[in-house]
Amino acid sequence: MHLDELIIGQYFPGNSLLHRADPRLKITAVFIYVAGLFLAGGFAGLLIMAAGLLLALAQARVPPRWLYRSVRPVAALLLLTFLFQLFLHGGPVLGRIGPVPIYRDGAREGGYLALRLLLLVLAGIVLSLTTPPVALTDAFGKMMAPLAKLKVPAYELALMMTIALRFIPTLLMEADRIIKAQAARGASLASGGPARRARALLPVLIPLFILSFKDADELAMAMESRCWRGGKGRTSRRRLRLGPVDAMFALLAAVVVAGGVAIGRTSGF
Amino acid sequence: MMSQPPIISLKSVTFGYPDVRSLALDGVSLEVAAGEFVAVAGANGSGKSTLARLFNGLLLPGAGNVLIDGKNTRDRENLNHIRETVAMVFQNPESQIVAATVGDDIAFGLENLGLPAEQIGLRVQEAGCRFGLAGLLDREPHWLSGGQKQRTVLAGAVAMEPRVLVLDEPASMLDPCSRKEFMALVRDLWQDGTTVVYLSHDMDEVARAPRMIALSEGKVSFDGDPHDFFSREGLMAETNLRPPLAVRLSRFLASAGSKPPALTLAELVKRACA
Ligand SMILES: Nc1ncnc2c1ncn2[C@@H]1O[C@H](COP(=O)(O)OP(=O)(O)OP(=O)(O)O)[C@@H](O)[C@H]1O
Ligand SMILES: [Mg+2]
Repeated sequence: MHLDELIIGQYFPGNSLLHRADPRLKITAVFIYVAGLFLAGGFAGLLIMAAGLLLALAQARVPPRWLYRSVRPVAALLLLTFLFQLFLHGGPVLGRIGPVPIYRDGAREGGYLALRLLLLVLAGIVLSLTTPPVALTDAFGKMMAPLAKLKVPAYELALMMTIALRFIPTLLMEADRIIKAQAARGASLASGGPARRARALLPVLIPLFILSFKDADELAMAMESRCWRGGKGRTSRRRLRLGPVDAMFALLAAVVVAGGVAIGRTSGF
Repeated sequence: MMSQPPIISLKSVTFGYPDVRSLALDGVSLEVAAGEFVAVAGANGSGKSTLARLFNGLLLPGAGNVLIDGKNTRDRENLNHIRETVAMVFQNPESQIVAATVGDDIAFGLENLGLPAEQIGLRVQEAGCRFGLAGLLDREPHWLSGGQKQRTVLAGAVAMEPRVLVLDEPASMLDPCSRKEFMALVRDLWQDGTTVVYLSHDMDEVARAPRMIALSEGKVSFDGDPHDFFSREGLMAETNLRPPLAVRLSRFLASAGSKPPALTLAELVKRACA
């Protein structure tokens, strides 16, 4: 795999309701959705919220392959969560795998927690699949702006996110280039024990650090030359205005979360 | 008619970096009038970048004064006005792009100035068209070519509508084709009235300017018409600069009469380039 394929954010371009909804609203919705997951208190609730998420994904026409690719990194964590709970709880024996008994409460608890974790991760993935990273950092910045009154360096934090977004892909490409250059000279990062591999990584990391420090210095000068003087009096090119699409999105999101929580808490399943 | 005061004026400016014994700039005095195109030439380490950074208050002189549009860079209150007046483009486009898309980066300075969103949008469009980036406004910088990156930087500087553009070896990391394209854009900006200060050690670029200033070891060793500079061999040797190909060729042709003739074109070129 190439490092530049690892580039943060995995935006899937589109023009669906989910794509067009205000990113601030989508971020808020994810937070509320996650809170809902913890309040739902039962399988029925989780299933309704899962259905909502799947509908959203289908509506955004995200191909399952993309979903699979983004969930794969957490698959081990999901399995671990399930297995841990499986053997932690008792209850009637449902069956056996070889000599190992499977208890009902364990399976139930494991399934519940694993599903909840999966939905939590998926909610974040849906956000990043349907919102370009630039729009996300912009929205975060705008949501934090009121905090500037409380002496939180909101603009500076937003700028930091933007710069990270700007430079991480560049640094990854640079790292990729260095690794290939080292490989051409016979160094390998793919073989040997962890200590050996860490040592092999040093020749990659050192030039990278030097490059990024040099960049930082020049970047600061370029910003200062372009009249950066902190957040005060700064305006934004990207104007966000709530519209009918946003109302629809908010309504649907509210129905899914409220429905999930209400049914989850009352159904006893 | 009253003559305009110079837009850039340096009076006996001295600058030394901390912990470095020798001065990076030593008694530099110069004036640039509004509307001029001035090339500043100098070998590596002659103080070009240091000089550029004094022009908008990124560095302050150790002694002497830098006046931009009549305002002293030492006075912090002038700094906003000075940076709006003098825009900078540095050598490496990679480290000058701040934002994560081309359009956002062109807008960065305008956002800092606090312009309303509609106006920012207009100026970004305009600069995008002028610098051939109209279709790339949503592109992320890491997918751009070197030439496109440097044009983004130039667009971001020009969108702020500065009166002076200071360029510190802006084309030295570009391939010959993008370099030519970039130089043409700078020339257009000058013809539209922007004052240009172009710092470079590429003599072929410098030779095209109507006025050149040569720096050597932090001092101004020449200020005038490039034709005068290149007809004085002693001066060139002092500044450690290699004359442009055309100069070498014309000198060679002038002296060629006293030598036996070259028999092939290759031989002629070989002799001329020696
Ligand atoms: N940050 C610094 N700290 C210490 N010394 C510096 C620093 N920057 C430059 N110098 C020194 O000051 C002198 C002038 O450097 P400057 O960068 O202005 O030259 P330059 O003409 O731009 O060279 P180049 O063509 O390599 O860009 C050099 O001797 C250099 O070593
Ligand atoms: Mg320099």
